Amino acid sequence: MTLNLLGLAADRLMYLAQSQSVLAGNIANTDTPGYVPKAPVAFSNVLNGSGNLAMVTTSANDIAPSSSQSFSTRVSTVAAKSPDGNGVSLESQLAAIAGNQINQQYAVNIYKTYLGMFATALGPNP
Amino acid sequence: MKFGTTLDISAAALSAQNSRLQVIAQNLANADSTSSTPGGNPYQRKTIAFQDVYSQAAGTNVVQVAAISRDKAPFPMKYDPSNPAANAQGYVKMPNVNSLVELMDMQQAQRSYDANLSVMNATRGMMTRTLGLI
Repeated sequence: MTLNLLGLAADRLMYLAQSQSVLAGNIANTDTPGYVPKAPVAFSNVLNGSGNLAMVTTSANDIAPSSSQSFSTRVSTVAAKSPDGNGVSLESQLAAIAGNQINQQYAVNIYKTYLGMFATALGPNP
Repeated sequence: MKFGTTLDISAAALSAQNSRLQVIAQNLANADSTSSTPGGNPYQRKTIAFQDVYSQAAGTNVVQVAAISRDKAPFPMKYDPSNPAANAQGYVKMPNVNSLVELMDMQQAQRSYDANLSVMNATRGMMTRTLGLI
């Protein structure tokens, strides 16, 4: 069985970068009245394709959707809102950022180690 | 490039918090600015509001200053007949600036600024690690 480990790690890295963007948006809006924080969809949903709802062309005159994958988010459940309607909890967002960093380190390490295994299998250069 | 967008979002938030600090500084500096004419209105406290708008340049939603408006709270009256701004009864209208509120607002702005800065640092760390794969 061949496992596309490099592709999987690359997907994971891409996902974490996009998720970082979502979290940065939440933290940037800690003082925006009425802002409800967004949460990135789970990685498993992105992997099996249910995370993205691709745009469809219904007529020949439609402009073709751009190839860049859109990253869908969901409205996160908010424990408490401040009086101005803002639901961002700075602490939980920063915790999510920290989690993102750890996961990214993990994915990068897997990528590196797998590449190292290739190098081992190929042996030293003659 | 996704990391670039993340940095754009955080940078916009930093500049928004910077405008907030400017408004706070103006309010604090004018905490005693009375009118120059007798019975006139003194400095009116400024307030700032943010909004999340789409930026064409960044290609995503970023925070911007929505409006800098004036606080409509009534001016406190102070009895000071010797003041040039005093009205016929000897009362001076003082600015509706409360230094304690401003200082608290300043702390909050600083906290948000720190949070955005640490997001930038985290993103930079992730970029460095990804580049380390090469």
